[in-house]
Amino acid sequence: MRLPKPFDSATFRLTGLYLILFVISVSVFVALLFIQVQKVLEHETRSQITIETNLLLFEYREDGMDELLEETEERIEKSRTRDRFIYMVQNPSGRVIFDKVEPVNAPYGWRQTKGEQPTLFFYTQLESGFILGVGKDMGVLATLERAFEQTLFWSLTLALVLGTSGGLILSRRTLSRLESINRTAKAIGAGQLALRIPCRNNGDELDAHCNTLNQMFDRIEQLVNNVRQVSTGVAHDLRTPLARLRGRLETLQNSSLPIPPESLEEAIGEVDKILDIFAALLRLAELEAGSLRSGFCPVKLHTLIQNITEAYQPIAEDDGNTLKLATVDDVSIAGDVNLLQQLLANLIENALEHGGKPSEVTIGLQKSRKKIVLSVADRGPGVINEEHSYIVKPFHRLENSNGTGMGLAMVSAITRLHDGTLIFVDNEPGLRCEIHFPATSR
Amino acid sequence: MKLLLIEDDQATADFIVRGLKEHGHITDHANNGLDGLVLAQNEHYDVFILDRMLPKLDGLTLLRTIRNAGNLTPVLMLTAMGSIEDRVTGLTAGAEDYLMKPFAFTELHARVCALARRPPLSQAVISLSIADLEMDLIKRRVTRANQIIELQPTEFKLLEFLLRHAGQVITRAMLLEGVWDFHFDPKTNMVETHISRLRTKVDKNFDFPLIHTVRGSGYRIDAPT
Repeated sequence: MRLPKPFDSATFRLTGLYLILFVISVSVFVALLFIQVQKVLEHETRSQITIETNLLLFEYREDGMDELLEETEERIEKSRTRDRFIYMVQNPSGRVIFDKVEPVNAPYGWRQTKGEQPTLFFYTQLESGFILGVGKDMGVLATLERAFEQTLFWSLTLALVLGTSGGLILSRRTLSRLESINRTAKAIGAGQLALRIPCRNNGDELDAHCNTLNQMFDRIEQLVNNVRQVSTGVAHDLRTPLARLRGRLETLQNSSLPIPPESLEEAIGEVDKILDIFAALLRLAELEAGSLRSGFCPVKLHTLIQNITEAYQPIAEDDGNTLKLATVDDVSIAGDVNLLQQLLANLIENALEHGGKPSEVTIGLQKSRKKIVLSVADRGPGVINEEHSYIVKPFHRLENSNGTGMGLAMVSAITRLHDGTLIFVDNEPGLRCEIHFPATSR
Repeated sequence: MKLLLIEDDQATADFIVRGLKEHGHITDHANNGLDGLVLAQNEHYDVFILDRMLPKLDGLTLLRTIRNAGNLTPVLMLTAMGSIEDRVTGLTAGAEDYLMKPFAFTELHARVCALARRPPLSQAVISLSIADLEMDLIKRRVTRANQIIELQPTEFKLLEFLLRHAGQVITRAMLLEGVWDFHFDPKTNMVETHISRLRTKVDKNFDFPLIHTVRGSGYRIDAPT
């Protein structure tokens, strides 16, 4: 997989989209503002024209047509500025007397001319048949429009330039971080399992993403190590009995004597031992997968402990060992009854085997507000602290043990499946295996 | 007995058919699920031995189909998977017993015999007996030659299990499952220890033994012939 060029990147596309939205909203804003300003200006001009018309009409009504003409002429003379009113008087025959503008016809009232010199006029028809018009140049509006257009043009150009370059810089930065994630993931995929993605620890979303990925890589590394360890174990622990079996069969093949039944029995015994290891490995894999949780039911731990103790007591007694119950509280947990039986059986068998001669094994079950503690303790030589993390690994066997090396690995996996913790404590003397289950709310 | 074996692996099938023939049983063999289904629905058999993974129609579907059709012939299911989940789905689908590959032939034979003679569930048994041994299931009392024998709860369960299958070979695994509900193999000789304790109480001081060891297979409770 290759990372995209900055222009194709998601960050850049996002910036682009944002920029388009920004341009549209600014344009709409400026347009609305312009329309509003235009309205205000027009309104203002209209009221000025109305006042001026009324003043002239007053003159006309007081002193007649001649006075109006005189007054108008005087006003034209007086105001020579560019911003002056434009006056227009048209005689009844349609000839315009003042200011060079086109003659008008009815209807009169407000008129607006466009073109090079846009003007706004108000025409009034007088009793004498004359038409009086007062107007004003609206050129200022056109100027204003141009100013608005220019402002808009430049600000949008600036926004586009800044937005595009900003987008490019942002997408380069994101891409460079993604590139580092990409590179690390590729290297890990290629086998460098110890590599991790550098995190900036600034708490942003990419950082959270990196942390999650790193956790995943931790888990992968751990699983691969487990597989390595198990395959080494398999290689050793299965090859040895297989080699022995092969040797036996070869001897039988080469022997001219009839095959003694004990040899066959021994060979089948070897096969069974190999099958046991296989079964245990498959069981472990099934436990690690965690899918068994779906079948959990409430299990009465105290009943289970009593039944198993009863089953093992005769065996312990026959070997001169003791197996007894300490405090056993009434406790139920959600679990798999078969697996919990196996857990307890493995712990008891271990304690009876390694708990010294004769061994004294005590089983307890105590419930407090926070946790449920199941314990199996012996008075034997115990296990030194440094060994505690090793004895739960598959294929780990104590010297002179005749087991498959799977017992405690199974106990540990079953405990984890039930959200419990397996703890080894010095029983002074002896080993005390404790399983802490979280106390349920019930 | 007449048995139907539905198993696609020829070597396994040959091994089973030969063994069953040596014990005097007639076995029909189908090597795929569809042929098996046709035979199962058209002929009468005492027990079906059904492999779980089959070509054309898998064992679980076959089992559900015949059960839905009202066929109640006991089924022993064979599987190479043998995980805990598999056993549970197999039993819920209607199998009476479940055996994980690879297995010893004696184990298969003992289980098939036990299934064939399994009494109907509705029949309420209140007492069991063999020769001069009697077990009262209601008073939970055992007597032999009119003498009361005191048994521990586990010993009582063990004897009850043997009596319910009187005359049949019961393997260690069958006892572990039936008496202790253990679906794993303990390292210790749990079955041997408990049987030997039971023997001291039931057989030791009497004229003839009732509990017999079947070499290489398991145990059998039987009256002397």
